Amino acid sequence: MAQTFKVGHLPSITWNRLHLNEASVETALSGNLPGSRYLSLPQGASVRTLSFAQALAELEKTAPVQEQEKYVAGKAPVYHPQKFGTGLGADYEQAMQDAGVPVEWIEIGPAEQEQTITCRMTLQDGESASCAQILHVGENAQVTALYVSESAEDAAGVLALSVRAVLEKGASLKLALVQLLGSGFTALSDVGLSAADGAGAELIQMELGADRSYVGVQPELIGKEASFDSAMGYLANGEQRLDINYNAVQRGRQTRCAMTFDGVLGDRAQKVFRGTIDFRNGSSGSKGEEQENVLLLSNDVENRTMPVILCEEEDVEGSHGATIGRLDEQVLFYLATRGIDAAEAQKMMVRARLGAVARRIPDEAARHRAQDYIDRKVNCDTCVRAADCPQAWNEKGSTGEKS
Amino acid sequence: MSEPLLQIRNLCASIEEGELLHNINLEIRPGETHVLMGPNGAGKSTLGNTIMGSPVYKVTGGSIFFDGQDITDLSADKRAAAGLFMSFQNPLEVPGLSMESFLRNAIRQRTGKPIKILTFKRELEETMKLLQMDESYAERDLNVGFSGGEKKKAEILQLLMLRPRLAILDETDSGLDVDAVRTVSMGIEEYQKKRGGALLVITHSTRILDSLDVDYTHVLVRGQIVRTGDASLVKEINEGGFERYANEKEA
Repeated sequence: MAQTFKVGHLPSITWNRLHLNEASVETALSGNLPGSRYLSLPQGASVRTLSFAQALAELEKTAPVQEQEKYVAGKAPVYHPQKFGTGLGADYEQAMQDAGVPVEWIEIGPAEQEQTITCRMTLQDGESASCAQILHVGENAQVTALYVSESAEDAAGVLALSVRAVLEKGASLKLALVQLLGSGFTALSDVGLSAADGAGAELIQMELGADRSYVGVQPELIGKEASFDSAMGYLANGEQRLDINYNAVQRGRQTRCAMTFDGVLGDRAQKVFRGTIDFRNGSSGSKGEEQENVLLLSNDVENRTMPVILCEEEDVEGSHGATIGRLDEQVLFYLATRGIDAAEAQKMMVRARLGAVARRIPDEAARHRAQDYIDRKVNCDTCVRAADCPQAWNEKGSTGEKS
Repeated sequence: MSEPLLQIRNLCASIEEGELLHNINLEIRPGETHVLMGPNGAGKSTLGNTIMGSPVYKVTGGSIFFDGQDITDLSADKRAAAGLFMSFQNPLEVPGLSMESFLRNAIRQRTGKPIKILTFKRELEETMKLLQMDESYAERDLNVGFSGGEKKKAEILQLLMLRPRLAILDETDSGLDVDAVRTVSMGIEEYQKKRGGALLVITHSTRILDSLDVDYTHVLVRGQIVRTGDASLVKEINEGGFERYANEKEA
């Protein structure tokens, strides 16, 4: 049964009439894992399946200890009662809990080599599924985690994804989330992570498909010199709706956060972006920056951007910027002097803008699938594809064999 | 004498603030090398851009014919497809678009034919070698993070790969050190001599001309061509500067 819940809360609320404080989702979450799911874990990793309530209780014990959150006027207390929150927020987790979504708790210790988690979900038309994981990355461990969701182009359904990560001292996580779902899907993707002293997370996120997408990311840089770097690419056209909430909470001293968002909106697509850098008490010497670049391909798109910097500490540097507009006339002329007409140039620039993010996906097959998805979506039948593009996933892993 | 490849008749071009080019007349035949010189702000780049079809400049009079076809009202991509090319003074950076992918797309667009990948790759490799460009540049985003010299080499790489019939080189030598000028000149020489291409070289200095066989030199002052001569005019300008042409009227 469909239920309505709020997601992607702005940590410091603004006028209600702007309709930017949060998004409202009406959908029915399922407690089932995707029917077709390939999960690969590194050797030595252990996995336990817990109920949502058990997982949250476990998280209380595992997450780095922090001082009691002070209530600041105007700030929604979205973190309580968790030690660290997620981008979509507590209501979403409650909805998952109500739906009986199991949580896979994955423990990964240090190893000589980088360790890789791959979770590939292929959904059928009409399928409603959820996938929730908590990654506990041990001290100095290096982990790459890849989540790819896909379906047939015109398939419909619901996918609810939740990934939390606890990074212990010196740990490093490269997280890639690639959403390539069909045009009738509702996709929810939620990330929350905590980073202890010297721990670093890199997030590469691509939102390319679905009809309705809700994306939330909340890194909490708790330890000294913890860091978070992210690159997000999105492409929405037709009647697509996309809601993005990134909320970087910098608590530790000398933490660093850099977030970039590159998007393309066409037709009558609508997008809301909330990007917050939140310097908390104790974050002296920290730096945070965010940059959004949006390419508008139509007069009918609706783009709303809400960059926020919150500051409880004096000795910090925060910056945000946004470039929103059509294709640069100079670039069009440059490409035209090479024989490329405006329509083709537009396709090339869309591919270029999103390709720059796609290229950072730490898996060749996933990279090519994302690029092919973009090509199909912009009807780029004349684009030159990579000759070595793997057309199929490797049966045993996500890295495609060259065909 | 062969028919002109480029024929400009009484060309006038403007921007909102006023007219920048006044009654320009110029003919370039296949394989010829023309040099366009002039002081800062004379309109050299404006002329190059107008020939190439930049939407910034509005043609308010006259005509441009290329290979017998009136291209005055054609868009830049159609002019390029007809065989025109311009090397930019400040090449643009295009994040996300690799040099190789860009070139393959451009060749495909210009020729309308599928590309033979192996032949393309071999030619690209050889051309990059000629220009002393590291192979890794083919995979890098177009001009992103390139030094000034590498950007200019990338322009010449495109010139050689796209094989236009007439190339306008807009201050290709500006900002380059002696070695880079030499390398870029080698590429231009290759285009001129082995590929039989015609050139309109827009320049302030004469270093880039050392290795080229110049057929005609034009001096542009305040939007007008005030003097046309042979290669010796380059030497004359080199020695005496542009001052003596400042008060000359249309050639």
